[in-house]
Amino acid sequence: MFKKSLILGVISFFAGVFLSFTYILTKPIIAQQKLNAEQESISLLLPNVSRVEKKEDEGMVYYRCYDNGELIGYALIASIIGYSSEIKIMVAIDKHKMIKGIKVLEQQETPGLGAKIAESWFEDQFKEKKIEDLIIGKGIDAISGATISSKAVTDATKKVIEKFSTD
Amino acid sequence: MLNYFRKFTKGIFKENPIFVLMIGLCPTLAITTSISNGLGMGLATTFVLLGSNTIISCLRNIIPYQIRLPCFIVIIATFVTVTELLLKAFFPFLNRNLGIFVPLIAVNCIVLGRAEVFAFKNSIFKSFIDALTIGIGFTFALLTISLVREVLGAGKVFCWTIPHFQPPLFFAFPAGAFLVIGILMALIRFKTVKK
Repeated sequence: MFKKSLILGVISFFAGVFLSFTYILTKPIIAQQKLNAEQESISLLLPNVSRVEKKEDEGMVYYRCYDNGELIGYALIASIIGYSSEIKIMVAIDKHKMIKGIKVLEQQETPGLGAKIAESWFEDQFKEKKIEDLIIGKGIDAISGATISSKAVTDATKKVIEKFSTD
Repeated sequence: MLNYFRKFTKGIFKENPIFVLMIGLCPTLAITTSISNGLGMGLATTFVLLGSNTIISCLRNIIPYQIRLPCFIVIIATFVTVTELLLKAFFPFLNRNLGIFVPLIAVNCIVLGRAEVFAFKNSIFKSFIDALTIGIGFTFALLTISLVREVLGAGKVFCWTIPHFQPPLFFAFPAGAFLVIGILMALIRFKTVKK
């Protein structure tokens, strides 16, 4: 009995060592990939950005975006529960809280329906709008068959801008 | 050599895990909505299979029969976690798409099944070949199903959208997955039985 436990213990030990090594080796690369993805989204939404500065305030993560030393806007990160998954979006706004664009960073919504929130025609609807314009049916067209996902993105955008106070 | 070749093709057609053995259907139903997902999942599972089969075969004389299952699971789960970390680091796009189904490879019956019926009883080289064939068979099945579902469900092939075609969304849903798998299985049975 003792021998069997020992064998399982030894196998688990080696598995643990192997895992720790992989974890340590991949950790900086994973963090870098995440940062790259976010910065890529920023440069899509605010094309003039030359430098960003990551900030964290009351659990909210956002980037201050500069064009040659001049502050031109902010990129806010927001997440909300959609229809079948957590949706993570980035909202780019200028100094007057005008939306410059949004981008869906992560989602696992229904393919063919809710997953369409990540398509550019849906995201582009938010461009050059203020939060007052974000009403489904008026300023924003929902995706047919995916009202909950569309509403989730709209609500998340609205909420994160309301919560954010320009510094 | 011919013998090995025959064994090699066995996992792909005669003992295809999806179409013939009908194991590992859960991830198959869930992720075959696009070709890139199918390919990614197939390759990730093949990697896990190669690792677990080889290591389990190496340790087959050390692992006591009574506690073989916990030992298998520890080894398999380790490889799955390594795969997840590697995907996150080098293929973040794929990891985002496959989501929860990457860690769930650990409970894929194919991986545990090959450990139990093959790697635990055969030499390292044979186990490695077995993992490779089963992995290729699984990938092949995923690719076939996801090709049908991507064309019919999304009206796309990889990045190319089929013009003037309104896809019936039904095929992108789980029910469509069942239907496609069922029809493909029937076709394959029809061919093999006739032989």
